[in-house]
Amino acid sequence: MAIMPVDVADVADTAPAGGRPKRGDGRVAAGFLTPSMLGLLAFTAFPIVASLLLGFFDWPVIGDHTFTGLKNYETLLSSDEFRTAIINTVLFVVLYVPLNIVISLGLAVWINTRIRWRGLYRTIFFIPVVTPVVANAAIFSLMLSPNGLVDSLMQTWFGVQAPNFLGSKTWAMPAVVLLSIWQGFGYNMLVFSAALENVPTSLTEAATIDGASASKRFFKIVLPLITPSIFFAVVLTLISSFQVFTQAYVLTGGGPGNATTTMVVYLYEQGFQFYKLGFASAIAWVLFVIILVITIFQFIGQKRWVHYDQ
Amino acid sequence: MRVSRLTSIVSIALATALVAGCGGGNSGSSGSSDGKVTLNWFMWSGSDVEKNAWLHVADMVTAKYPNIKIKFETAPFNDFWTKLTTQAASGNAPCVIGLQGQRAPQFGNLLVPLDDHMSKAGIKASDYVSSITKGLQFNGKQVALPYDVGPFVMFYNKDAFKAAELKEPAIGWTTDEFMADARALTKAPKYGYWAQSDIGQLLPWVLSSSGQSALNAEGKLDVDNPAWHTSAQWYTDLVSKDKLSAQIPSANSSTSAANQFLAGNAYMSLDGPWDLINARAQAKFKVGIAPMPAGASGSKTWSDGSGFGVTKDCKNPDQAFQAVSVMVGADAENYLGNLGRAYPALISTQNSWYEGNKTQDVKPVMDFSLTNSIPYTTTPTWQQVVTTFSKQAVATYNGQGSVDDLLSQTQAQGGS
Repeated sequence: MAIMPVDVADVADTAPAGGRPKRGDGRVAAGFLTPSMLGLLAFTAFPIVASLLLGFFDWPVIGDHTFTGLKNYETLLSSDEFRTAIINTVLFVVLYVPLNIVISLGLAVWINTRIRWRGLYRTIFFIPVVTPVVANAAIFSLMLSPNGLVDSLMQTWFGVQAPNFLGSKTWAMPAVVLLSIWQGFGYNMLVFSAALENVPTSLTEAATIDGASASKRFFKIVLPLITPSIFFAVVLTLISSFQVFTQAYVLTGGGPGNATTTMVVYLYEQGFQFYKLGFASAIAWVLFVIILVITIFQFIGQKRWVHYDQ
Repeated sequence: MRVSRLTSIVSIALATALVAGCGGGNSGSSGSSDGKVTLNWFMWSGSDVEKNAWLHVADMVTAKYPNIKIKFETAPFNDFWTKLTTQAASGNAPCVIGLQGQRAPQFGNLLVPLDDHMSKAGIKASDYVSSITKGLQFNGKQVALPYDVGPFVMFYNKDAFKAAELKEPAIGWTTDEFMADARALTKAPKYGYWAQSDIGQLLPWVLSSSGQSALNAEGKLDVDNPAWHTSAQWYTDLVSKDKLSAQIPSANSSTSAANQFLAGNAYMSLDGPWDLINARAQAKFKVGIAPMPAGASGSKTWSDGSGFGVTKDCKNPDQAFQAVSVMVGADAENYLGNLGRAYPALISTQNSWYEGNKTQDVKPVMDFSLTNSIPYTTTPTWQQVVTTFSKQAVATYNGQGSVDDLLSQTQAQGGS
């Protein structure tokens, strides 16, 4: 439907002229902001403050709550299970983040060479990102279970049974990492792909003329130019991987033993299965502090390797 | 003038909204002056077929008590408990709720004791299967009336037993015979038995070998003891030493045993009769059931079931009890039994389940197993027991952890 010219004129008439005081804008802006501000207050700001307070209480869902001061934090920091959860989370981050960055960057570089169907490939690689994690996890679970796809293929081809991936302490975490990479590489690939498009061809062409090899051109020119995007991708991937939950919860339920109990899986168990809301809030705040500190260090460290000027 | 009028309109509107908010504030029921009440009934269901069965039961309530209208609310089984917990926390629990026996210690506190109502209405607990009426008690009071019950029994693949020329398991078979059968049937990747990490899967073996349950006489968790050690070690060996069962896939695959059994990858599996009709409809082979193989302590198993109770939040408890009495009454039980939705807890109506579903062949096993079952008694923090046990059992049964770890961790988490 086209906008009638007269409407446009009306709008132009009522729009504030340059000389009007800015307070009118403020009110209008406030009006437009109110709905989302209310949402932010109700669903973000309030829960944050509430969880901070809850952390100092013994707060079951049903029944009376009592103020316990720092007891939740004391229990938490001396708990073996929480220590295991931290170790598992760090293990996941160390395995997942570098692999994710390397794979998504590699695919982005490959797609950016002038191959046919690149638009199609980009779309295909992005599909796992928009597929719900639970759906991806259900498929992986079917593939990795005994008598699943992988096991059946190995039996047909090699006559041996595949490892019991999800029920083995050795294989469970790699399976979770694998699923996370499948779920996550498309997003970073798109970020890197956009960054690579912005690298001026004049620079790489000049280097080619000067006799620089393909690998030299990539590592000395292209890579430094896309470091801001890499920094962005690393920061976001790191934050999200500290919060890993769905993959581990759906695939392995945090087991076997506590092999895939990450910090958020532990939080979920304590808060929503055992209904210890105060204790779960304390876990959330410890996780928040860990992520905050790591992100601050990343921002400090970026001066050494991120190049913002072209 | 204009302002005051506007103010009054707004205040009237607000007041109306507030009053309406209070009246219909989802307190689980609402009444009106002519004695008509609407009761909220919250019950789990896994499919439209199931939901429609419950809606039919709701209509039966209104047919008997025209002044009661039922507003049916539902959620899948696992979400049901989460939603119920949050509703109860905000004081908005529905009037009538479904309750599973093993969850009674966790939710019993939310419910009104029904004993007085029962004696007034002439409803006798002895008309129902005693293990489940006991299972639905809380602090010695009846907090829900049961509609179904079922003992945990051994499902087996009749065709596989025939093909291997084995005698089919029947009342009186023993753990040794079970082992011999499983050994004869196992040809990897097809297994004689399908082990699972749930604590309810190990419990019947413990009961049959030692007579001990998961709780001691004081109702406290007691699993870190020799009886549990022996059975858990035996179960672990079954999986990782004798290899008569496949390894446990993961702690999150509770449905996998049923699926593997139905797919013909495992020939025996412990399950409840609530799955029997579905299994017979789906399996490409004949499904039989047998009691638990007898161990040193005989053939013992647990039974569990579900019922309906009235919440303390309910504003019309008398009418809510009337509704419950219809839901677990003879007409509703016959209807549910015929459909195969429930093995009725009301003893006089149990034939409907056999006749409606052509399951007369399993009656002796059902009767025997029910007689030799104890209620699935639990603790208020049972969810912690289940979660901790399941996760660790995957590692232990698969040979990556000790039975000591399994039982001491479960005791530490759930015993506090």
